[in-house]
Amino acid sequence: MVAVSPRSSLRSDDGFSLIEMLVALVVTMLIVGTALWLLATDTVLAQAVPHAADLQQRGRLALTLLARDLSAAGAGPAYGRLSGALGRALPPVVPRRVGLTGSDPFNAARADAITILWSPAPGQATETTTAVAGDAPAMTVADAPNCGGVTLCGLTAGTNIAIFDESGRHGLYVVTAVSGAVATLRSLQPAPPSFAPGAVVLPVESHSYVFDTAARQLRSYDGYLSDAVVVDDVVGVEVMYLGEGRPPVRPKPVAGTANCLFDAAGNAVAALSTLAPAGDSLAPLPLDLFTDGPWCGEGDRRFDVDLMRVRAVRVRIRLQSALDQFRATGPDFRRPGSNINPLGGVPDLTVATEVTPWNLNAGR
Amino acid sequence: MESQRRPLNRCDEGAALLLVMMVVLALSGLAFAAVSLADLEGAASANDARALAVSYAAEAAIERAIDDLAAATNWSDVLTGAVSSPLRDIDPRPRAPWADVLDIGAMTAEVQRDADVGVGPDQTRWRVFLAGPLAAMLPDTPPGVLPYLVAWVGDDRADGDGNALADANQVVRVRARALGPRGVRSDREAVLERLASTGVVRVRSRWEPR
Repeated sequence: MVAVSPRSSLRSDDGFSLIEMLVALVVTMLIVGTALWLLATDTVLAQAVPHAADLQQRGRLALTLLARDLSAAGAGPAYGRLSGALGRALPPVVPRRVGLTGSDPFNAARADAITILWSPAPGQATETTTAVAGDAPAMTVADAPNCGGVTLCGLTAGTNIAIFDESGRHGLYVVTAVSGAVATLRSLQPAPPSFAPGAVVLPVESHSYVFDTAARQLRSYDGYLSDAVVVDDVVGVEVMYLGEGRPPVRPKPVAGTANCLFDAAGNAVAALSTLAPAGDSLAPLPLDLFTDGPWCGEGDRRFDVDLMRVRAVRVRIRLQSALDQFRATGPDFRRPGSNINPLGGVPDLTVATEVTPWNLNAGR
Repeated sequence: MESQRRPLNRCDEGAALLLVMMVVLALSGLAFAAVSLADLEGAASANDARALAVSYAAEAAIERAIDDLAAATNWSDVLTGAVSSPLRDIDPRPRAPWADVLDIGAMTAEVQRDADVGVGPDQTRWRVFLAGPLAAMLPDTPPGVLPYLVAWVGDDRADGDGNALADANQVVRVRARALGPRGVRSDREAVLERLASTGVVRVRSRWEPR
Protein backbone atom coordinates (compact mmCIF):
# COMPACT_ATOMS: atom_id res chain seq x y z
CA MET A 1 0.00 0.00 0.00
CA VAL A 2 1.37 3.34 -0.89
CA ALA A 3 0.58 6.33 1.22
CA VAL A 4 -0.87 9.20 -0.74
CA SER A 5 -0.70 12.68 0.54
CA PRO A 6 -3.95 14.66 0.34
CA ARG A 7 -2.22 17.43 -1.64
CA SER A 8 -0.97 15.14 -4.38
CA SER A 9 -4.39 13.60 -4.56
CA LEU A 10 -5.95 17.00 -5.09
CA ARG A 11 -3.55 17.87 -7.87
CA SER A 12 -4.21 14.74 -9.80
CA ASP A 13 -7.78 13.80 -9.35
CA ASP A 14 -9.83 16.50 -7.74
CA GLY A 15 -10.46 18.77 -10.69
CA PHE A 16 -10.67 22.54 -10.28
CA SER A 17 -12.34 24.58 -7.66
CA LEU A 18 -14.94 27.16 -8.64
CA ILE A 19 -12.49 29.95 -7.88
CA GLU A 20 -9.88 28.43 -10.16
CA MET A 21 -12.45 28.02 -12.89
CA LEU A 22 -13.59 31.60 -12.58
CA VAL A 23 -10.05 32.93 -12.60
CA ALA A 24 -9.15 30.78 -15.59
CA LEU A 25 -12.33 31.87 -17.35
CA VAL A 26 -11.68 35.54 -16.73
CA VAL A 27 -8.07 35.29 -17.84
CA THR A 28 -9.08 33.38 -20.95
CA MET A 29 -11.80 35.88 -21.75
CA LEU A 30 -9.37 38.74 -21.32
CA ILE A 31 -6.84 37.16 -23.64
CA VAL A 32 -9.34 36.10 -26.27
CA GLY A 33 -11.23 39.41 -26.00
CA THR A 34 -8.05 41.40 -26.49
CA ALA A 35 -7.11 39.27 -29.44
CA LEU A 36 -10.52 39.61 -31.02
CA TRP A 37 -10.55 43.35 -30.38
CA LEU A 38 -7.17 43.66 -32.04
CA LEU A 39 -8.36 41.52 -34.91
CA ALA A 40 -11.53 43.53 -35.36
CA THR A 41 -9.65 46.85 -35.22
CA ASP A 42 -7.05 45.61 -37.61
CA THR A 43 -9.73 44.32 -39.96
CA VAL A 44 -11.54 47.66 -40.00
CA LEU A 45 -8.28 49.52 -40.63
CA ALA A 46 -7.20 47.03 -43.26
CA GLN A 47 -10.47 47.65 -45.10
CA ALA A 48 -10.28 51.43 -44.79
CA VAL A 49 -6.62 52.00 -45.61
CA PRO A 50 -6.83 50.93 -49.30
CA HIS A 51 -9.67 53.38 -49.79
CA ALA A 52 -7.69 56.17 -48.16
CA ALA A 53 -4.78 55.32 -50.47
CA ASP A 54 -7.16 55.29 -53.44
CA LEU A 55 -8.30 58.79 -52.51
CA GLN A 56 -4.71 59.98 -52.44
CA GLN A 57 -3.97 58.43 -55.82
CA ARG A 58 -7.06 59.90 -57.46
CA GLY A 59 -6.26 63.32 -56.04
CA ARG A 60 -2.69 63.10 -57.24
CA LEU A 61 -3.74 62.04 -60.74
CA ALA A 62 -6.27 64.85 -61.11
CA LEU A 63 -3.83 67.48 -59.93
CA THR A 64 -0.97 66.17 -62.05
CA LEU A 65 -3.02 66.29 -65.27
CA LEU A 66 -4.52 69.68 -64.51
CA ALA A 67 -1.25 71.24 -63.41
CA ARG A 68 0.55 69.93 -66.48
CA ASP A 69 -2.02 71.36 -68.88
CA LEU A 70 -2.21 74.62 -66.98
CA SER A 71 1.58 74.95 -67.12
CA ALA A 72 1.39 74.69 -70.89
CA ALA A 73 -1.51 77.15 -71.21
CA GLY A 74 -0.94 79.89 -73.74
CA ALA A 75 2.04 78.48 -75.64
CA GLY A 76 1.67 80.32 -78.94
CA PRO A 77 3.30 80.63 -82.35
CA ALA A 78 7.09 80.73 -82.39
CA TYR A 79 7.28 82.35 -85.82
CA GLY A 80 5.42 84.77 -88.01
CA ARG A 81 2.82 87.37 -87.29
CA LEU A 82 1.54 87.31 -83.72
CA SER A 83 4.49 85.20 -82.59
CA GLY A 84 4.51 84.92 -78.83
CA ALA A 85 2.02 83.78 -76.24
CA LEU A 86 -1.54 83.04 -77.33
CA GLY A 87 -2.67 85.66 -74.83
CA ARG A 88 -1.73 88.34 -77.33
CA ALA A 89 -4.84 87.44 -79.31
CA LEU A 90 -7.17 85.21 -77.33
CA PRO A 91 -7.69 83.88 -73.79
CA PRO A 92 -5.80 80.60 -73.18
CA VAL A 93 -8.02 79.73 -70.20
CA VAL A 94 -11.78 80.18 -70.05
CA PRO A 95 -14.13 79.19 -67.22
CA ARG A 96 -16.46 76.94 -69.17
CA ARG A 97 -16.64 73.83 -71.32
CA VAL A 98 -15.82 74.56 -74.96
CA GLY A 99 -16.02 72.31 -77.99
CA LEU A 100 -18.16 70.69 -80.61
CA THR A 101 -20.69 69.18 -78.22
CA GLY A 102 -22.04 70.30 -74.89
CA SER A 103 -20.43 73.72 -74.95
CA ASP A 104 -21.48 76.18 -72.29
CA PRO A 105 -22.79 79.48 -73.63
CA PHE A 106 -20.07 81.97 -74.45
CA ASN A 107 -21.23 84.23 -71.61
CA ALA A 108 -21.16 81.51 -68.95
CA ALA A 109 -18.55 81.42 -66.22
CA ARG A 110 -18.49 78.31 -64.04
CA ALA A 111 -16.40 77.67 -60.98
CA ASP A 112 -16.35 73.96 -61.73
CA ALA A 113 -15.11 74.00 -65.32
CA ILE A 114 -12.06 75.29 -67.14
CA THR A 115 -10.83 75.04 -70.71
CA ILE A 116 -7.11 75.27 -71.34
CA LEU A 117 -5.62 76.02 -74.75
CA TRP A 118 -2.00 75.69 -75.87
CA SER A 119 0.11 74.76 -78.82
CA PRO A 120 2.10 71.52 -78.68
CA ALA A 121 4.02 72.55 -81.84
CA PRO A 122 4.62 76.30 -81.88
CA GLY A 123 7.18 75.88 -84.67
CA GLN A 124 4.44 74.89 -87.11
CA ALA A 125 2.83 78.33 -87.18
CA THR A 126 1.78 79.64 -90.58
CA GLU A 127 -0.95 81.75 -92.19
CA THR A 128 -3.99 81.04 -94.34
CA THR A 129 -3.75 81.95 -98.00
CA THR A 130 -7.47 81.57 -98.66
CA ALA A 131 -10.55 82.78 -96.84
CA VAL A 132 -11.85 80.32 -94.27
CA ALA A 133 -15.57 80.27 -93.58
CA GLY A 134 -18.28 77.79 -92.63
CA ASP A 135 -18.38 74.51 -90.75
CA ALA A 136 -16.26 72.49 -93.20
CA PRO A 137 -13.99 74.87 -95.04
CA ALA A 138 -11.06 74.05 -97.29
CA MET A 139 -7.82 75.77 -96.35
CA THR A 140 -4.45 76.42 -97.91
CA VAL A 141 -1.55 77.91 -96.01
CA ALA A 142 1.57 79.89 -96.74
CA ASP A 143 4.90 78.14 -97.12
CA ALA A 144 6.40 80.08 -94.23
CA PRO A 145 10.19 79.87 -93.83
CA ASN A 146 9.80 77.86 -90.64
CA CYS A 147 7.76 75.25 -92.53
CA GLY A 148 10.80 74.17 -94.51
CA GLY A 149 8.88 73.56 -97.70
CA VAL A 150 6.74 70.87 -96.10
CA THR A 151 3.20 70.76 -97.47
CA LEU A 152 0.68 72.46 -95.19
CA CYS A 153 3.53 73.15 -92.75
CA GLY A 154 3.29 69.56 -91.59
CA LEU A 155 -0.42 69.63 -90.71
CA THR A 156 -1.93 66.18 -91.10
CA ALA A 157 -5.40 64.70 -90.78
CA GLY A 158 -6.45 64.60 -87.17
CA THR A 159 -4.48 67.67 -86.13
CA ASN A 160 -6.40 70.26 -84.14
CA ILE A 161 -5.64 73.81 -85.17
CA ALA A 162 -6.57 77.31 -84.13
CA ILE A 163 -7.11 80.07 -86.65
CA PHE A 164 -6.99 83.57 -85.25
CA ASP A 165 -6.15 87.17 -85.91
CA GLU A 166 -5.24 90.29 -83.98
CA SER A 167 -8.81 91.31 -83.27
CA GLY A 168 -9.53 88.39 -80.95
CA ARG A 169 -11.54 86.51 -83.56
CA HIS A 170 -10.60 82.85 -83.37
CA GLY A 171 -11.88 79.41 -84.11
CA LEU A 172 -10.79 75.84 -83.49
CA TYR A 173 -10.86 73.23 -86.21
CA VAL A 174 -9.75 69.69 -86.82
CA VAL A 175 -8.06 68.75 -90.07
CA THR A 176 -10.27 65.98 -91.44
CA ALA A 177 -8.48 65.36 -94.73
CA VAL A 178 -5.43 66.49 -96.67
CA SER A 179 -5.36 66.48 -100.43
CA GLY A 180 -2.19 67.91 -101.91
CA ALA A 181 -1.79 71.37 -100.45
CA VAL A 182 -5.42 71.67 -99.41
CA ALA A 183 -6.67 70.76 -95.97
CA THR A 184 -10.33 70.13 -95.30
CA LEU A 185 -11.34 71.31 -91.86
CA ARG A 186 -14.23 70.75 -89.53
CA SER A 187 -15.18 73.51 -87.14
CA LEU A 188 -15.08 72.55 -83.46
CA GLN A 189 -17.76 75.04 -82.51
CA PRO A 190 -21.14 76.08 -83.81
CA ALA A 191 -21.32 79.21 -85.95
CA PRO A 192 -17.58 79.62 -86.57
CA PRO A 193 -16.26 83.02 -87.58
CA SER A 194 -14.97 83.86 -91.05
CA PHE A 195 -11.34 84.62 -91.67
CA ALA A 196 -9.76 86.60 -94.46
CA PRO A 197 -6.50 85.30 -95.96
CA GLY A 198 -3.58 86.00 -93.66
CA ALA A 199 -5.06 84.64 -90.44
CA VAL A 200 -2.64 82.77 -88.20
CA VAL A 201 -2.80 78.95 -88.23
CA LEU A 202 -1.36 76.98 -85.34
CA PRO A 203 -1.64 73.37 -84.08
CA VAL A 204 -3.31 73.46 -80.70
CA GLU A 205 -4.71 71.29 -77.97
CA SER A 206 -7.78 72.20 -75.99
CA HIS A 207 -8.72 70.41 -72.80
CA SER A 208 -11.89 71.20 -70.90
CA TYR A 209 -11.93 69.91 -67.33
CA VAL A 210 -15.52 69.76 -66.17
CA PHE A 211 -17.11 68.58 -62.95
CA ASP A 212 -20.07 66.35 -63.74
CA THR A 213 -22.14 66.78 -60.58
CA ALA A 214 -24.67 64.07 -61.45
CA ALA A 215 -22.06 61.39 -62.09
CA ARG A 216 -19.65 62.87 -59.53
CA GLN A 217 -16.79 62.74 -62.00
CA LEU A 218 -14.09 65.07 -63.18
CA ARG A 219 -14.06 64.75 -66.96
CA SER A 220 -11.66 65.91 -69.65
CA TYR A 221 -13.01 66.91 -73.05
CA ASP A 222 -10.75 67.53 -76.04
CA GLY A 223 -13.28 69.74 -77.82
CA TYR A 224 -14.06 67.12 -80.43
CA LEU A 225 -14.76 63.42 -79.81
CA SER A 226 -12.95 62.44 -76.64
CA ASP A 227 -14.81 63.07 -73.40
CA ALA A 228 -13.18 60.89 -70.77
CA VAL A 229 -13.38 60.45 -67.02
CA VAL A 230 -10.30 61.71 -65.20
CA VAL A 231 -11.34 60.60 -61.72
CA ASP A 232 -14.50 59.26 -60.12
CA ASP A 233 -16.17 60.13 -56.84
CA VAL A 234 -15.47 63.82 -56.99
CA VAL A 235 -17.73 65.90 -54.76
CA GLY A 236 -16.44 69.37 -55.46
CA VAL A 237 -14.33 71.32 -57.93
CA GLU A 238 -13.52 74.97 -57.54
CA VAL A 239 -11.41 76.96 -59.98
CA MET A 240 -10.29 80.46 -59.01
CA TYR A 241 -8.53 83.02 -61.15
CA LEU A 242 -5.90 85.60 -60.29
CA GLY A 243 -4.68 88.26 -62.61
CA GLU A 244 -3.79 91.77 -63.55
CA GLY A 245 -5.58 94.55 -61.73
CA ARG A 246 -4.99 96.81 -64.70
CA PRO A 247 -7.42 96.54 -67.61
CA PRO A 248 -6.18 94.44 -70.54
CA VAL A 249 -4.77 96.12 -73.64
CA ARG A 250 -5.03 93.09 -75.91
CA PRO A 251 -6.29 91.91 -78.31
CA LYS A 252 -5.32 94.95 -80.31
CA PRO A 253 -6.59 94.90 -83.91
CA VAL A 254 -4.59 96.16 -86.86
CA ALA A 255 -5.07 99.80 -87.77
CA GLY A 256 -8.32 100.45 -89.54
CA THR A 257 -10.29 97.74 -87.78
CA ALA A 258 -12.13 97.79 -84.50
CA ASN A 259 -12.79 95.22 -81.80
CA CYS A 260 -14.21 95.17 -78.30
CA LEU A 261 -11.35 97.26 -76.88
CA PHE A 262 -10.35 99.67 -79.64
CA ASP A 263 -12.02 101.62 -82.41
CA ALA A 264 -10.66 101.70 -85.95
CA ALA A 265 -8.43 104.64 -85.05
CA GLY A 266 -6.82 102.69 -82.22
CA ASN A 267 -8.58 104.53 -79.38
CA ALA A 268 -9.73 102.58 -76.34
CA VAL A 269 -13.50 102.28 -76.34
CA ALA A 270 -14.16 100.18 -73.26
CA ALA A 271 -13.93 101.52 -69.71
CA LEU A 272 -12.77 98.53 -67.69
CA SER A 273 -12.30 98.60 -63.95
CA THR A 274 -8.95 98.49 -62.18
CA LEU A 275 -8.89 95.81 -59.50
CA ALA A 276 -6.96 95.95 -56.25
CA PRO A 277 -4.43 93.22 -55.63
CA ALA A 278 -5.01 91.08 -52.55
CA GLY A 279 -1.71 91.36 -50.77
CA ASP A 280 0.43 90.15 -53.63
CA SER A 281 0.92 91.32 -57.17
CA LEU A 282 -2.16 89.58 -58.56
CA ALA A 283 -5.78 90.48 -57.99
CA PRO A 284 -8.49 87.87 -57.40
CA LEU A 285 -10.76 87.81 -60.43
CA PRO A 286 -14.37 86.98 -59.49
CA LEU A 287 -16.32 84.90 -61.96
CA ASP A 288 -18.91 87.60 -62.60
CA LEU A 289 -16.10 89.70 -64.04
CA PHE A 290 -16.13 87.26 -66.97
CA THR A 291 -19.83 87.55 -67.70
CA ASP A 292 -20.38 91.26 -68.20
CA GLY A 293 -18.41 91.95 -71.37
CA PRO A 294 -17.17 93.68 -73.39
CA TRP A 295 -17.11 90.70 -75.72
CA CYS A 296 -14.32 90.09 -78.18
CA GLY A 297 -14.28 87.49 -80.93
CA GLU A 298 -17.23 86.05 -82.78
CA GLY A 299 -19.79 83.29 -82.48
CA ASP A 300 -19.42 80.61 -79.84
CA ARG A 301 -15.82 81.65 -79.21
CA ARG A 302 -16.71 85.12 -78.05
CA PHE A 303 -15.06 85.92 -74.74
CA ASP A 304 -15.20 88.53 -72.02
CA VAL A 305 -12.07 90.57 -72.51
CA ASP A 306 -11.42 90.48 -68.75
CA LEU A 307 -10.23 86.90 -69.34
CA MET A 308 -7.11 88.48 -70.80
CA ARG A 309 -6.19 89.52 -67.25
CA VAL A 310 -5.72 85.94 -66.02
CA ARG A 311 -2.18 85.17 -64.88
CA ALA A 312 -2.66 82.35 -62.37
CA VAL A 313 -5.20 79.64 -61.67
CA ARG A 314 -6.04 77.92 -58.40
CA VAL A 315 -7.83 74.60 -58.41
CA ARG A 316 -9.34 72.73 -55.46
CA ILE A 317 -10.78 69.27 -55.90
CA ARG A 318 -12.66 67.40 -53.19
CA LEU A 319 -12.90 63.63 -53.45
CA GLN A 320 -14.83 61.12 -51.43
CA SER A 321 -14.50 57.44 -50.67
CA ALA A 322 -16.15 55.38 -53.36
CA LEU A 323 -18.03 53.17 -50.90
CA ASP A 324 -20.88 54.29 -48.69
CA GLN A 325 -19.63 52.10 -45.83
CA PHE A 326 -16.50 54.22 -45.45
CA ARG A 327 -18.31 57.53 -45.28
CA ALA A 328 -19.84 58.80 -42.08
CA THR A 329 -21.64 62.01 -41.18
CA GLY A 330 -20.10 65.34 -40.30
CA PRO A 331 -18.12 68.12 -41.92
CA ASP A 332 -15.49 65.69 -43.20
CA PHE A 333 -18.04 64.02 -45.44
CA ARG A 334 -19.79 65.98 -48.19
CA ARG A 335 -22.11 63.02 -48.78
CA PRO A 336 -22.94 61.10 -45.62
CA GLY A 337 -22.54 57.36 -45.56
CA SER A 338 -23.39 54.47 -43.30
CA ASN A 339 -20.16 54.19 -41.35
CA ILE A 340 -20.49 54.40 -37.55
CA ASN A 341 -17.04 53.16 -36.58
CA PRO A 342 -14.72 56.13 -36.15
CA LEU A 343 -11.77 53.95 -37.12
CA GLY A 344 -13.38 52.82 -40.35
CA GLY A 345 -14.28 56.18 -41.83
CA VAL A 346 -12.34 57.61 -44.77
CA PRO A 347 -12.87 61.39 -44.73
CA ASP A 348 -13.14 63.36 -47.97
CA LEU A 349 -9.82 64.53 -49.35
CA THR A 350 -9.30 68.02 -50.73
CA VAL A 351 -6.32 68.57 -53.01
CA ALA A 352 -5.32 71.95 -54.36
CA THR A 353 -2.78 73.53 -56.63
CA GLU A 354 -1.96 76.97 -57.95
CA VAL A 355 -0.33 77.29 -61.33
CA THR A 356 1.17 80.44 -62.80
CA PRO A 357 1.53 79.50 -66.48
CA TRP A 358 4.71 80.84 -67.95
CA ASN A 359 3.04 81.93 -71.20
CA LEU A 360 0.35 83.85 -69.35
CA ASN A 361 3.04 85.90 -67.67
CA ALA A 362 5.47 86.46 -70.54
CA GLY A 363 6.49 90.07 -70.54
CA ARG A 364 5.08 90.92 -67.13
CA MET B 1 -3.80 2.15 -2.98
CA GLU B 2 -1.80 3.69 -5.74
CA SER B 3 -3.02 6.87 -7.15
CA GLN B 4 -2.82 7.09 -10.90
CA ARG B 5 -2.56 10.16 -13.04
CA ARG B 6 -5.22 10.15 -15.65
CA PRO B 7 -3.48 10.03 -18.99
CA LEU B 8 -3.93 13.23 -20.94
CA ASN B 9 -5.96 12.75 -24.04
CA ARG B 10 -6.32 15.20 -26.98
CA CYS B 11 -9.46 16.72 -25.54
CA ASP B 12 -7.57 17.84 -22.50
CA GLU B 13 -4.63 19.49 -24.24
CA GLY B 14 -6.64 22.62 -24.94
CA ALA B 15 -6.86 24.70 -28.04
CA ALA B 16 -4.95 27.67 -26.70
CA LEU B 17 -1.90 27.19 -28.87
CA LEU B 18 -3.98 26.62 -31.96
CA LEU B 19 -6.16 29.63 -31.20
CA VAL B 20 -3.17 31.85 -30.53
CA MET B 21 -1.48 30.71 -33.70
CA MET B 22 -4.57 31.37 -35.79
CA VAL B 23 -5.00 34.84 -34.34
CA VAL B 24 -1.31 35.60 -34.81
CA LEU B 25 -1.52 34.35 -38.38
CA ALA B 26 -4.57 36.47 -39.15
CA LEU B 27 -3.03 39.57 -37.59
CA SER B 28 0.21 38.95 -39.47
CA GLY B 29 -1.69 38.65 -42.73
CA LEU B 30 -3.49 41.91 -42.18
CA ALA B 31 -0.33 43.63 -41.06
CA PHE B 32 1.50 42.35 -44.11
CA ALA B 33 -1.27 43.60 -46.40
CA ALA B 34 -1.21 47.00 -44.73
CA VAL B 35 2.58 47.22 -44.99
CA SER B 36 2.48 46.18 -48.66
CA LEU B 37 -0.09 48.84 -49.39
CA ALA B 38 1.92 51.43 -47.51
CA ASP B 39 4.97 50.41 -49.54
CA LEU B 40 3.02 50.80 -52.78
CA GLU B 41 1.64 54.16 -51.74
CA GLY B 42 5.12 55.22 -50.65
CA ALA B 43 6.58 54.18 -54.01
CA ALA B 44 3.84 56.03 -55.90
CA SER B 45 4.43 59.14 -53.81
CA ALA B 46 8.18 58.89 -54.34
CA ASN B 47 7.73 58.55 -58.11
CA ASP B 48 5.43 61.54 -58.12
CA ALA B 49 7.87 63.60 -56.08
CA ARG B 50 10.74 62.57 -58.36
CA ALA B 51 8.82 63.53 -61.50
CA LEU B 52 7.87 66.86 -59.97
CA ALA B 53 11.45 67.59 -58.94
CA VAL B 54 12.70 66.78 -62.43
CA SER B 55 10.01 68.97 -63.98
CA TYR B 56 11.11 71.91 -61.83
CA ALA B 57 14.73 71.13 -62.70
CA ALA B 58 13.85 71.35 -66.41
CA GLU B 59 12.42 74.81 -65.74
CA ALA B 60 15.66 75.73 -64.02
CA ALA B 61 17.66 74.34 -66.93
CA ILE B 62 15.90 76.38 -69.57
CA GLU B 63 16.02 79.52 -67.44
CA ARG B 64 19.76 79.07 -66.99
CA ALA B 65 20.25 78.40 -70.69
CA ILE B 66 18.24 81.51 -71.61
CA ASP B 67 20.31 83.60 -69.21
CA ASP B 68 23.57 82.26 -70.60
CA LEU B 69 22.37 82.78 -74.18
CA ALA B 70 21.41 86.36 -73.36
CA ALA B 71 24.96 86.88 -72.16
CA ALA B 72 26.43 85.56 -75.42
CA THR B 73 26.93 88.42 -77.84
CA ASN B 74 27.08 86.35 -81.00
CA TRP B 75 24.71 83.45 -81.37
CA SER B 76 26.52 82.10 -84.40
CA ASP B 77 29.44 81.32 -82.07
CA VAL B 78 27.01 79.39 -79.92
CA LEU B 79 25.72 77.46 -82.92
CA THR B 80 29.22 76.44 -83.98
CA GLY B 81 30.11 75.43 -80.46
CA ALA B 82 32.77 78.10 -79.99
CA VAL B 83 30.81 79.53 -77.07
CA SER B 84 28.88 77.52 -74.53
CA SER B 85 27.38 77.95 -71.10
CA PRO B 86 29.76 78.24 -68.14
CA LEU B 87 27.91 75.18 -66.85
CA ARG B 88 29.30 72.80 -69.43
CA ASP B 89 30.53 69.36 -68.50
CA ILE B 90 32.70 68.42 -71.49
CA ASP B 91 32.63 64.70 -70.71
CA PRO B 92 30.38 63.13 -73.37
CA ARG B 93 29.52 60.32 -70.96
CA PRO B 94 29.27 61.98 -67.56
CA ARG B 95 28.30 60.07 -64.46
CA ALA B 96 25.03 61.28 -63.01
CA PRO B 97 24.68 61.93 -59.27
CA TRP B 98 22.73 58.66 -58.96
CA ALA B 99 25.69 56.78 -60.53
CA ASP B 100 24.27 56.07 -63.99
CA VAL B 101 26.42 56.96 -66.99
CA LEU B 102 24.64 59.39 -69.31
CA ASP B 103 25.21 59.23 -73.04
CA ILE B 104 24.92 62.85 -74.12
CA GLY B 105 25.66 61.96 -77.75
CA ALA B 106 22.76 59.49 -77.90
CA MET B 107 20.50 62.08 -76.32
CA THR B 108 21.53 64.65 -78.89
CA ALA B 109 20.76 62.23 -81.70
CA GLU B 110 17.36 61.55 -80.17
CA VAL B 111 16.56 65.26 -79.88
CA GLN B 112 17.73 65.74 -83.46
CA ARG B 113 15.24 63.17 -84.73
CA ASP B 114 12.28 65.37 -83.81
CA ALA B 115 14.01 68.65 -84.53
CA ASP B 116 11.68 70.07 -87.12
CA VAL B 117 9.23 69.41 -89.88
CA GLY B 118 10.98 68.85 -93.18
CA VAL B 119 14.65 68.71 -94.04
CA GLY B 120 17.15 70.95 -95.75
CA PRO B 121 20.20 73.06 -95.00
CA ASP B 122 18.27 75.22 -92.55
CA GLN B 123 16.99 72.35 -90.47
CA THR B 124 17.89 72.89 -86.85
CA ARG B 125 21.09 71.13 -85.85
CA TRP B 126 21.11 70.78 -82.09
CA ARG B 127 24.39 71.37 -80.29
CA VAL B 128 24.99 70.84 -76.57
CA PHE B 129 25.21 74.23 -74.89
CA LEU B 130 24.87 73.34 -71.23
CA ALA B 131 25.49 70.14 -69.30
CA GLY B 132 26.00 69.52 -65.63
CA PRO B 133 24.38 68.53 -62.39
CA LEU B 134 21.77 70.82 -60.89
CA ALA B 135 23.90 70.81 -57.75
CA ALA B 136 26.47 72.89 -59.64
CA MET B 137 23.88 75.65 -59.89
CA LEU B 138 22.95 75.33 -56.23
CA PRO B 139 26.23 75.37 -54.35
CA ASP B 140 24.65 75.63 -50.89
CA THR B 141 22.38 72.66 -51.37
CA PRO B 142 23.12 69.67 -49.16
CA PRO B 143 24.49 66.71 -51.11
CA GLY B 144 21.79 64.49 -52.51
CA VAL B 145 20.49 63.00 -55.69
CA LEU B 146 19.71 66.11 -57.70
CA PRO B 147 18.85 65.94 -61.41
CA TYR B 148 21.35 66.31 -64.20
CA LEU B 149 20.71 69.06 -66.76
CA VAL B 150 21.40 69.25 -70.48
CA ALA B 151 20.45 72.06 -72.87
CA TRP B 152 20.87 72.22 -76.62
CA VAL B 153 20.81 75.26 -78.89
CA GLY B 154 19.97 75.29 -82.59
CA ASP B 155 19.31 77.81 -85.32
CA ASP B 156 15.72 78.42 -86.29
CA ARG B 157 15.01 77.49 -89.88
CA ALA B 158 13.02 80.65 -90.48
CA ASP B 159 16.12 82.74 -91.27
CA GLY B 160 16.42 80.89 -94.56
CA ASP B 161 20.17 81.51 -94.84
CA GLY B 162 20.93 77.94 -95.81
CA ASN B 163 23.28 77.48 -92.89
CA ALA B 164 22.20 75.75 -89.71
CA LEU B 165 25.38 76.86 -87.95
CA ALA B 166 24.91 80.59 -88.49
CA ASP B 167 22.29 82.89 -87.03
CA ALA B 168 21.10 85.43 -89.57
CA ASN B 169 17.97 86.74 -87.85
CA GLN B 170 18.82 86.89 -84.14
CA VAL B 171 16.49 84.00 -83.41
CA VAL B 172 17.54 80.67 -81.92
CA ARG B 173 15.89 77.67 -80.38
CA VAL B 174 16.84 76.18 -77.04
CA ARG B 175 15.80 72.86 -75.65
CA ALA B 176 16.49 71.85 -72.06
CA ARG B 177 16.21 68.49 -70.37
CA ALA B 178 16.43 67.41 -66.76
CA LEU B 179 17.23 63.80 -65.98
CA GLY B 180 16.59 62.00 -62.74
CA PRO B 181 17.00 58.51 -61.32
CA ARG B 182 15.05 55.62 -62.85
CA GLY B 183 14.81 57.23 -66.25
CA VAL B 184 12.66 60.16 -65.16
CA ARG B 185 13.11 63.16 -67.44
CA SER B 186 11.39 66.36 -68.45
CA ASP B 187 11.93 68.66 -71.44
CA ARG B 188 11.27 72.32 -72.17
CA GLU B 189 11.75 74.20 -75.40
CA ALA B 190 11.76 77.89 -76.26
CA VAL B 191 12.36 80.17 -79.22
CA LEU B 192 14.39 83.26 -78.35
CA GLU B 193 14.91 86.45 -80.25
CA ARG B 194 17.27 89.33 -79.62
CA LEU B 195 15.47 92.59 -80.31
CA ALA B 196 17.48 94.64 -82.76
CA SER B 197 16.36 97.92 -81.21
CA THR B 198 17.36 97.24 -77.61
CA GLY B 199 19.45 94.08 -77.66
CA VAL B 200 17.09 92.59 -75.10
CA VAL B 201 16.47 88.87 -75.45
CA ARG B 202 12.78 87.98 -75.55
CA VAL B 203 11.22 84.54 -75.32
CA ARG B 204 8.82 84.25 -78.22
CA SER B 205 7.31 80.98 -77.24
CA ARG B 206 7.95 78.37 -74.64
CA TRP B 207 6.43 74.94 -74.28
CA GLU B 208 6.86 71.44 -72.98
CA PRO B 209 7.50 68.93 -75.77
CA ARG B 210 5.38 65.82 -75.13
